[in-house]
Amino acid sequence: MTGDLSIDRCDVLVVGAGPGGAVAAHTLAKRGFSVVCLEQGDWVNPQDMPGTKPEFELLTRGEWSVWPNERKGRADYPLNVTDADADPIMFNGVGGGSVFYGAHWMRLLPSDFRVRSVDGVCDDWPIGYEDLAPYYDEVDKFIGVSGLGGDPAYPEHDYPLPPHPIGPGGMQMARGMNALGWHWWPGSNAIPSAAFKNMGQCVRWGLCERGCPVGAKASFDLAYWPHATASGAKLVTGARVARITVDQRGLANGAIWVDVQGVEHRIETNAVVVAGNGIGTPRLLLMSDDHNPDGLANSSGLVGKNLMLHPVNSVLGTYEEELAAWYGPAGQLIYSLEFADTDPARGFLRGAKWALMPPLGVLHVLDHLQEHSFAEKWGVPLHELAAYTGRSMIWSGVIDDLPQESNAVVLDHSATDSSGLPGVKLNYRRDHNADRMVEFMNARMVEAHEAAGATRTLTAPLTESGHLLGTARMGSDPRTSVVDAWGRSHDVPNLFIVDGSVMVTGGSVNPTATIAAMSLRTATHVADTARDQRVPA
Amino acid sequence: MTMSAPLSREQLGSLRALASVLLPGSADSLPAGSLADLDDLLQHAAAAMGNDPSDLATATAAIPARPTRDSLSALADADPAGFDMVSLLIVGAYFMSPAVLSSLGLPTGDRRPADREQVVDELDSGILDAVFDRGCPVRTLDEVNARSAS
Repeated sequence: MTGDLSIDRCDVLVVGAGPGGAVAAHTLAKRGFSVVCLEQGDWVNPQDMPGTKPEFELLTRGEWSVWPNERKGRADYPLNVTDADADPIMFNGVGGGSVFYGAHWMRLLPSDFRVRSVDGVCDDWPIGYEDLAPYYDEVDKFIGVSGLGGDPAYPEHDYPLPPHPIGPGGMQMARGMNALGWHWWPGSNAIPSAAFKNMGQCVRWGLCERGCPVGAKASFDLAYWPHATASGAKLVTGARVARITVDQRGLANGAIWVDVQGVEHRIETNAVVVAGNGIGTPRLLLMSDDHNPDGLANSSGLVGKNLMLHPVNSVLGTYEEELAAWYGPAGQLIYSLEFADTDPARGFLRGAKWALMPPLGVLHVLDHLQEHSFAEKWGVPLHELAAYTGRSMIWSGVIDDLPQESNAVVLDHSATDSSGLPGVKLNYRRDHNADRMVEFMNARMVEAHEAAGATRTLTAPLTESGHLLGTARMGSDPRTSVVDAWGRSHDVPNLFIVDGSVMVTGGSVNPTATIAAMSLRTATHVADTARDQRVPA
Repeated sequence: MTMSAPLSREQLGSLRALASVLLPGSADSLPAGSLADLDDLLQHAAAAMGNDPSDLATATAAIPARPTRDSLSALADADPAGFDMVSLLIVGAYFMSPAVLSSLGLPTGDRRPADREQVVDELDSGILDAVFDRGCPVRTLDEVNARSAS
């Protein structure tokens, strides 16, 4: 636990120190507001990351697992997935999920904001690509994104740092994609290709998704929080918010939080910014039931609903050529948007971004045998596949699962966290659209590997992402949305949400760039309009 | 995380026998049984996994005294969780061995920052020409805005 526990008053209270919270805290502190951020987890020292240890792949299946139910850390809360087709990745700590993200730094496509208009399903966002583009640019420059401008799939934009080499594997796959006539582009990654601010140049250990041991990845504990605290933001870790409180006028006036010793504290504030992401944010709003049994900011009844989790499909290819696949970043070497937008002929709506990645280790390669029979897996087959670790590449796809109200985050009072607060139950089923998309993407990824010369392909079981989206969606109509186009609660005018929960549709790309850009946009709006805002008496 | 106790001599023996069957070696790969430091690797792996000691004791006790592929296949069917635990332990231990990693040509530990000219050379090769010829694979901003306005 770090930070000043005695702080009992601030202009803006931020809940959660992940990407959304970090950007909001920095932006508002820089504008002169007194900002306190309460984070239930703690700092992670990059030097403690497991990647430099011989046993790192085993550690990432236990103490350092990306799955909270496997990790079972103090800051984690119970996540009941018995009625869910997914067990999402989460990390509760400074930097949030970005501590373990692959730093694939992607903007939503213009059509992602307009799914109702272009595909006739779901809803349009109340903002469009043009509204967010300046904020994408600003965040890119702030954290030092590496990439190559000029991708024909996007409106023109560039990156502050040059791209990483795509390496022998990327070149081999690029030739295959070119032979098929399919789009690809050098990977854009929030991983510095040259020293940038407090981050060193990537040393290409290829461990990005397991946490970078040398701090050469723009996780938000490194890329934003040092700047936020230098600007005056106060960050208290080991501080779990139990509920947001409201006054008689319905304005948020503070929060009750619990420290690691179980001692309850109260902090008062003029405004609250919630950044718990697509599971933590609805959990907190639903727990904040002092005035309404349905929770806070929930007159629409949509808090917790429309959960989107971006299932991830992947296909490994093995090659006879030496690909030096132990070189990172991982990170994406190249990406493809060939199948990211709707083509009705494919039999499903929307699509998936593909990322070509090196394997994260031998055990990661061997995971591709997990659904094989005993005879097909153990003994010589295992040795033979392991021998291809340096000559293998993995395509993975971000499946754009469409929002459904029945996919929801609800409180689970049958299990409690270390502070005695209720856990969470996920009700989540993939629909037929997503299933057809998975089948299509798997088949096309096999084709891509074969075009690039793969001698064998192995399609992995569907896995999970850490993309937690949609559970406090934005919109213009308070009856059908939780927050407005600025992330402000329709019900509680001094309550803002700055994480993946506000996304109306999930898009087919990794969401952190969008979360950060939207947080910057919301926080800038909060600062710009502070004089006009209603605050508690 | 559960604190794990060191593996007993009996447990090490069972795990070595398991490794000999599941990781017998191949033309290019070392047999697990040939690793002189296998016991140390197993201890290291068990500590990293941090399994509940009683669960691990149960799972190792279930390994047949003289395991064969058939008997282990039956064990995997009968107790998948226990088998997964001990099989991950021996595979994790095996692939921690510097000798095994070296035989696979996998480097360990060294920092390898990129030569800044590498990406320049890659892009100068004309590899992106076909991508520009392909053009935009998705609906453009103008196309989206036109649909939104209609």
